[in-house]
Amino acid sequence: MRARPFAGRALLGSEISVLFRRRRTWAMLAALAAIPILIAVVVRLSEGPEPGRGPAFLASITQNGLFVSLTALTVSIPLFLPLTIGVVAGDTIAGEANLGTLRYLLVAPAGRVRLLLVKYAGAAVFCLVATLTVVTTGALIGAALFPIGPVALLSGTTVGFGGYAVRLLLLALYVTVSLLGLSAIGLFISTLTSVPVGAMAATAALAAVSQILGALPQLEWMHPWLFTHYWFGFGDLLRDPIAWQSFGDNALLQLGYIAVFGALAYGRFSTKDILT
Amino acid sequence: MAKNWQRWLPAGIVPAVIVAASVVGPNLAQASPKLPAKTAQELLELVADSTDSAFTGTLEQSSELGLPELQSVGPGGRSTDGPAAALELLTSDHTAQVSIDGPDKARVQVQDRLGERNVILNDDEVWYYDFREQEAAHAVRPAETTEAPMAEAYTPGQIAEKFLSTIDPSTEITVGDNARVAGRTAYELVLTPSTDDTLVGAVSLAVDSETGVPLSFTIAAQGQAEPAFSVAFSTIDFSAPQAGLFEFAPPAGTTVTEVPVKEHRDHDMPDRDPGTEPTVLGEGWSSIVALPAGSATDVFTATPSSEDAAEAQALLQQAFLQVDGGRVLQTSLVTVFIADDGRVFAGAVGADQLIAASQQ
Repeated sequence: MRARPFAGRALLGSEISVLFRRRRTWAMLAALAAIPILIAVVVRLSEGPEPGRGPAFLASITQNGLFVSLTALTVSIPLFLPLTIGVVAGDTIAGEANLGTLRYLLVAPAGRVRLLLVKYAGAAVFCLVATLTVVTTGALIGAALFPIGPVALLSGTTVGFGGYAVRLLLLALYVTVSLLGLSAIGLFISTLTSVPVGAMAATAALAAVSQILGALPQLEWMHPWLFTHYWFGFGDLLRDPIAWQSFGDNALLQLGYIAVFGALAYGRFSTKDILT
Repeated sequence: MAKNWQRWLPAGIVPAVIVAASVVGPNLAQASPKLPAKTAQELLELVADSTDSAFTGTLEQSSELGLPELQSVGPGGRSTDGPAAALELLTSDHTAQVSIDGPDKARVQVQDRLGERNVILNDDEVWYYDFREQEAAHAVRPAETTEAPMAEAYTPGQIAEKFLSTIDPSTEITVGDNARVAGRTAYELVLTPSTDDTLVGAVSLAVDSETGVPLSFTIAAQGQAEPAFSVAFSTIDFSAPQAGLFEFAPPAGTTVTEVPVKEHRDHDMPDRDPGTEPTVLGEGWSSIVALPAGSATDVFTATPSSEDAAEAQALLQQAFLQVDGGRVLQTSLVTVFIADDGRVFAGAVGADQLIAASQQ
């Protein structure tokens, strides 16, 4: 029997609503929101940091609260964002298998490919929401605790609130795209096991491994192939004029990871015996 | 129902396609283009005629000097004080956006990770801006100045010009294979030292076949496969940059330093002690610059005045090797020898030549 054309969309809707009705999802988003709040409160209570020390943009916060978003993003990219993505992506298939619901999902005329696509789309939506959470909480808490004004870009050009908001949205998009490769890896690992915790830990650990490999100068030939290679390239969107090169390179790299691990996930999931 | 192995096919095909594309793609781009033949002299004239052009391009700098990497790994800290900053700029890889509009307007944006250093030349105004440090420096060039401004000294064109002006009988000039740089066809000019006494293997320059703008500049060291130093455009666009790009005002919160400019450099210099003047021994590629005794006696032994100075000292102690009669810093292109009495010898030659020079 052919699936109805809207079955995929309905499935996606239910997947997203299940994802965002989970207490775990909200706890992770709250933890992410706590990062900019923590940074802003600590900077507010202490003396202004010396320029050039600490994470990027930290010194600029006292002059302009809107920089809290950028500091928080810089701090969360190496660990907190990959960790939460690892949890969501690692849970996609393995979670259903563990709960014994995978069978019922496949009884419905959805098909395994469609289920994979929907699960992946759900993880991608979480990437966007997680990044936006960090950025918007940062801007709000910064505006509440510090004076705000036109924002200086890396090149020294000053932009107004409108221009800055557009750049922040572009930034969120960049970071979301950066995390898509990791999500695809998580999806594949999730098809390998019915123990969701294992898939989550493996995905988050891979993000750490990739960053460590990227920090070793001896492995320079490998660096452009690591999915974490462009993670900090988001700064290129804060230049004047915007340097789009890294946005394109990053998108291409992530697309490669999506293709490879998507194909692997398809190979594994479509040949798997679903017993639970 | 498809067989199981068929479902694994995409997982095999996709990586194969990616590998094939990444191997074949660059090779296609590197095929040597056909261009009307030119002599070395004609190429030199082509370069000389290109000084007034306008363009915007992305410049990639990389070096393989055999020095330890000084750039710190984390997203935050970067050592930016004094000699460490200068060394960092030379020894680690950088990407810069270069915009040139005639001889009087230029902007170089060194694209650090989550930071940027800018040098902007706008007619007689010169700005330096560092986002990370929130520092800016401003200077006004005297109208009659002939000095090459900092910003221009960074482009392959200016570096090439300096090199070409020093060409003498000790250098062999040849025309290499045509190349493709930044998507443009280019002639290659190769300068080879005729002496074996230098660490420099060859200097090569790719010249845009249409405009004569140098697109890449590479120094090869003796006995090293990878270029020791290279600056090359990865993209270039020969249309005039936006005029607003050269207008600069430091953002609020920036520490601005006004740099006074010496009106007449030669006359205003205070009389220097002739004992501290550097001397040049030999000539051509194997020449050695010597600083007299006392120039660097206490670099390694002095008690550092601050934390930063201590860091710089530790760095130097790490980089220099103890040898008979002094210490040696050996890179693939340049060698520095600091004798125990504080004399400094430097040149693009081997350490034994420097030590020999110090014993004369």
